Amino acid sequence: MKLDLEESNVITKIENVQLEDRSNSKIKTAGLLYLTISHLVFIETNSKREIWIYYSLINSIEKLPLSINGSPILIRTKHFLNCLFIISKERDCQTLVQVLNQYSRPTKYHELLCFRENSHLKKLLDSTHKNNQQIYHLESEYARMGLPNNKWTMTNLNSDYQICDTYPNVLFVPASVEDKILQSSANFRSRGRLPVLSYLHPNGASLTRCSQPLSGFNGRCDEDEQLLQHILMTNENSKFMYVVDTRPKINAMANKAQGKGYENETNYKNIQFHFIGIENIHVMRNSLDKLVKCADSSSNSSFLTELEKTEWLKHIKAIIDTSVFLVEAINDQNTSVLVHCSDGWDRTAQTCALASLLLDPYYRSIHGFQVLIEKEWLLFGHKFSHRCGHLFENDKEISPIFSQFLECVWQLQLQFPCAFEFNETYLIKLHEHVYSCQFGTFIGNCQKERNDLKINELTYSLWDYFQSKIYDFINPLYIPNSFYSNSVLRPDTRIFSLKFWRSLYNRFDSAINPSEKLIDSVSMLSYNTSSLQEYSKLLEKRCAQLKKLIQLNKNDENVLIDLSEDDFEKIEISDKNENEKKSFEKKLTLDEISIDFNSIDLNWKSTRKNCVCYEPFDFASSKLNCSRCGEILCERCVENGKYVSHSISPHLEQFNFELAKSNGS
Amino acid sequence: MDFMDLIEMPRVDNVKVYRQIQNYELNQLVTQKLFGSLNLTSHHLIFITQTDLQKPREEIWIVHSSIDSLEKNVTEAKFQLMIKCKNFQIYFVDFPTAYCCNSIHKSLESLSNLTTENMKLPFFCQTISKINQEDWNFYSIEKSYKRFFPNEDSSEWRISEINNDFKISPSYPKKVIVPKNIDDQALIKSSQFRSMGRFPILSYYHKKTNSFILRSGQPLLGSSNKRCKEDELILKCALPKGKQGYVYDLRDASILKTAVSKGGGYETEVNYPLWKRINKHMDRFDQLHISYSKLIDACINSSTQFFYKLDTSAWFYNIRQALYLSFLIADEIHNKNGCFLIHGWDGLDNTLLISSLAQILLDPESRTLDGFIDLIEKEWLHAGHPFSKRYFKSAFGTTPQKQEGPVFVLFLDCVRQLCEQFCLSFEFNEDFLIMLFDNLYTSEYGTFLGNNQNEREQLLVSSRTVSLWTYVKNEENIKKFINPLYKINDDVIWPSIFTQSLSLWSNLFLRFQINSKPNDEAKKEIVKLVETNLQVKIKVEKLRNELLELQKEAIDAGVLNSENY
Repeated sequence: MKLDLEESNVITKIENVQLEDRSNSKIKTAGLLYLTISHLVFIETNSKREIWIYYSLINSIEKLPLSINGSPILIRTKHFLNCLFIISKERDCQTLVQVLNQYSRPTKYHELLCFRENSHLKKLLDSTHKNNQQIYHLESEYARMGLPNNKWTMTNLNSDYQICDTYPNVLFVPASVEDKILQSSANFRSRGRLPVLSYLHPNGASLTRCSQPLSGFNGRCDEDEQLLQHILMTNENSKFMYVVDTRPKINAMANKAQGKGYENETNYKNIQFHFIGIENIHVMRNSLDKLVKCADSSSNSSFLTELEKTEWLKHIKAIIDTSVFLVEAINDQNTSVLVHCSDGWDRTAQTCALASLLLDPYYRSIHGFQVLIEKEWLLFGHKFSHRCGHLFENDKEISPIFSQFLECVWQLQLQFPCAFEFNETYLIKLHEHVYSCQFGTFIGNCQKERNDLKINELTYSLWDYFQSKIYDFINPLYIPNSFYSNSVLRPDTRIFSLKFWRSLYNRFDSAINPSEKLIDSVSMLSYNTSSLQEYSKLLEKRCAQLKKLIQLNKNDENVLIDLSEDDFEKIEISDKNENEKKSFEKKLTLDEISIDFNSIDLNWKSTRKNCVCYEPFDFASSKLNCSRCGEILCERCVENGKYVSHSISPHLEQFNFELAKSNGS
Repeated sequence: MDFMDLIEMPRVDNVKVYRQIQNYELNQLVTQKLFGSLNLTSHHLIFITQTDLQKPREEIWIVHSSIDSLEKNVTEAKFQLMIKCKNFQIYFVDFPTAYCCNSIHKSLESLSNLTTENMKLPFFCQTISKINQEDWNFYSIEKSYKRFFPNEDSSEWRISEINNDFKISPSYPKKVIVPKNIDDQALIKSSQFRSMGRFPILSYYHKKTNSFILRSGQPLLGSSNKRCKEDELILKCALPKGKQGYVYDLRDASILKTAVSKGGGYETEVNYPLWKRINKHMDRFDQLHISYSKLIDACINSSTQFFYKLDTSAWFYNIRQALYLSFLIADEIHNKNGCFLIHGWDGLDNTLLISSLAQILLDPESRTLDGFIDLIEKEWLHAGHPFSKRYFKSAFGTTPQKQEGPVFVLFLDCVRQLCEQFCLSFEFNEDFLIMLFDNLYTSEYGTFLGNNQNEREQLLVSSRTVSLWTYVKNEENIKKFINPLYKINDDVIWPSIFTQSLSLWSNLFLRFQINSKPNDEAKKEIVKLVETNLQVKIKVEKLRNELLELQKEAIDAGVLNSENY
């Protein structure tokens, strides 16, 4: 999201800055750097193209060796924008680093952007319904699964986060189980994360999640064993259940020495225990580092070999494979599964969320996907602030766990292009805002922390923002009733079916991404169709009006005419009132007909073209057609209302009425 | 020789055939096992399953010439033949006895390796459709000439018929475009100085900038350092004032000495002062064949190190290099003042690849279906790309002569990469390219028979076989090949050539491994969206006209206030 420079607090301005093209170091563009309290803004002198970087998105600031042109500074962001600025004066360079260090490393939550006054978001969101966040009550999602029922019940045991501070305050557990069993089980599990229900399949098989048991080498807990029996009993269709430890066996063994570990199959009746090797957060972090380097060295001809070495897609494959294992157990074998890793908030969140998405088509809708993220990630305590490095604290806690989940979903979108209501842009923007700190949604590490921070009261919700520009995120190819959108998804996880996510990792490298974006033109086509359908209704009404007008003239002046059906004009002409008839005639002038007539352009400009304002370099930036003149507009111009003389596709009334209002038409 | 002499055993019963098929519901490959009889005919291997009450009879037809390689695995207990097809399909056949297995193997080896052009399938498929001469004459040099030079009088170029009897250059077409003020005698001299008699001829003329691409074979300097005044004159005359000439030699500079010692060579700066020579490496067709085999191997045995294997196959290197070189040429022609002569060794392979790709970038016409067919005719068929030799074997097979090399497959893949990067700018779709691939190796149509126009004429291809374009132009078929989102793009297109920008051609190279159904569903949805959009537009047009008429009527009747207008 980009603001107006005038509205932002500019701290300092640096002149004579060059931006080096990352795909061709020979190309440099001259411009000005502005440092505001929240952004770094680069404005190109010639093209007026603007690059806005949130401090919160900055990942690293690197001073490169001095060159003849000045001091090069490489800025890498968490959403994979790499900018190499060459600053002519060394002193300016020091200022830049100093300002960035001061402003881009918040140490307290309340220094984050989302807690600041934001006039832009205020304008955009305050008029609509505020704070959607509260809509996502855990209870309503479980109610959707038909819960509580005679097998599963809701417990308030954790209402004050007393047994587990990283779990939600509402938990679903087997109806037959007593509180003291739950209490003891929580004591036996790492950080009190006892086995609770994540997802219930219509066949009765359940997906439950927890953390590792504190078993050490010989430890056992009778109540924990009983709890698993109760979970097993909720499903009449199977005599056993799976316990899946998503870690590699060697990691789980190492944990044993620390008094943690995994379930001993002999202690738990009728369970089948499985290790599936998804690597830990440190391995994933290192793998991403390599991947980013590999994507960045774009001239590197051995890209594929480098890609192989990062092992990134191997990790993605492991996550999808594990989720497929869960799906096959639950759907095909009617068998319940309990999933954990170490603390049950990283790998467990990934696989439970992905398995749910594969099992239940609801989670592939825009709303359902948000619910899924709220439930499996936010409420069950994925440590977003630690993993995303929202605050300047421990680097070792940072890991792209949630990004990997988004990438898995992207891989699925690629394989099943008609099965998702949301598109790739949705995932890319979601990825950005998980890091951007502009919205409160992903701030904090668990529900309790977010409550303490008063996130709901003090910040805007990302979901509301997304809702306000939902037209960017709809997959035009979504077919709700097709075979693949209605059934369990079975992804192909053979390595050749997994792709490098170019539009995320090379999002800002316009030289690498395709010049013509398929999904843009398909979206445009479907918006064009819906606009024209609206328009044809308008034309039909106008025609009918004119016909009646002509008819009225031909017949006796006193003929009764009822035009009340016409909600465009909302005019009722009473038979005897000459004045009103006149006003009707006056209303329907040629001028007006011609305004209506020209209210839409039949042939919208191809999405091949760019917005008049500047050339976008962000692959995820959306393009919209003005329905009146057919010209292409970029997201920023639309959001800033700069081009109010244009009108955007009428299919999103709410947003467009806004535009239309400011347009004064 | 008669086909029947090659078939020892026309029918074997109690045969088992294994193949992998896609289970769409589970989205995975399953091995299908079929029982039945195997029959050999002159052009087909036909497997017919045993009639069974539960299952309907199934037939598998395999054209002999579609078989790329056969591997026999005969042990005491097993008599198995593995059939690898040129389209990457693989079958396993279990025979009841070693004798049958050997006999069928022997027959298939002969039948799938027939070199006699006259015995090839298209000559036996005249009934698939009426032979349409118009389709055979779809392309003509005059057509290109008119497109390049709408005004003949002011043109500096002419059509020469010097090769009318294919004597000067057997691999050239009858007519070629050459500079106007070069006479035929000079062409003859030049042809004697160029490899395979391939003197410089016009390949493409860019009207917007009056720049052009010529192509030829390498000059035959030899160790005695010969020169040819007429050849030099052609290049001198061709180049208008103010233009910079570039000889694009698609061979590494390090190899030129070897070329000279073998009687070939390069254009020396002394003799061609207006032309700057640039050497750019492209893998030769035989190396490309190895690359192709490695690529397909990676796709089929891809359990580990898939990306590493892809990389070492060098297939992507070749795509990048081809797109990069054509990009450079297009940039010079469109944005600067460059004119080009392209050649490698004989000018039969990479030369055509680069010149045709450059045209696709430069010329919007070549991105239409008809224009693309013209391009294939002009730059590949008429230009003498040896189709018969290059596509005798696919990724699994080789012949001792080592004449195979998938240059045209690389071309199709490059075009597909462009289609993907410019999804609105091409009138044809990926299915069209895959159809071309399939007909390249095995076809019922005569288009890709022979190695050049000369051979095709001797074989009477146009009167004895059906043209592939007859199939394409059929109303039912053409629909399958049209990109519904196509909007003419008059600009030059500038492709991305980073490895990240390229993709593996899954729908071709992994065609028997991946489930294409979800993607087909998406394609159908796009077609549907386009159709709905069109319907609405028609409706709106109609309503607009109706409204205008009513408006007029209302004004005439005096009921509509027109004061404000």
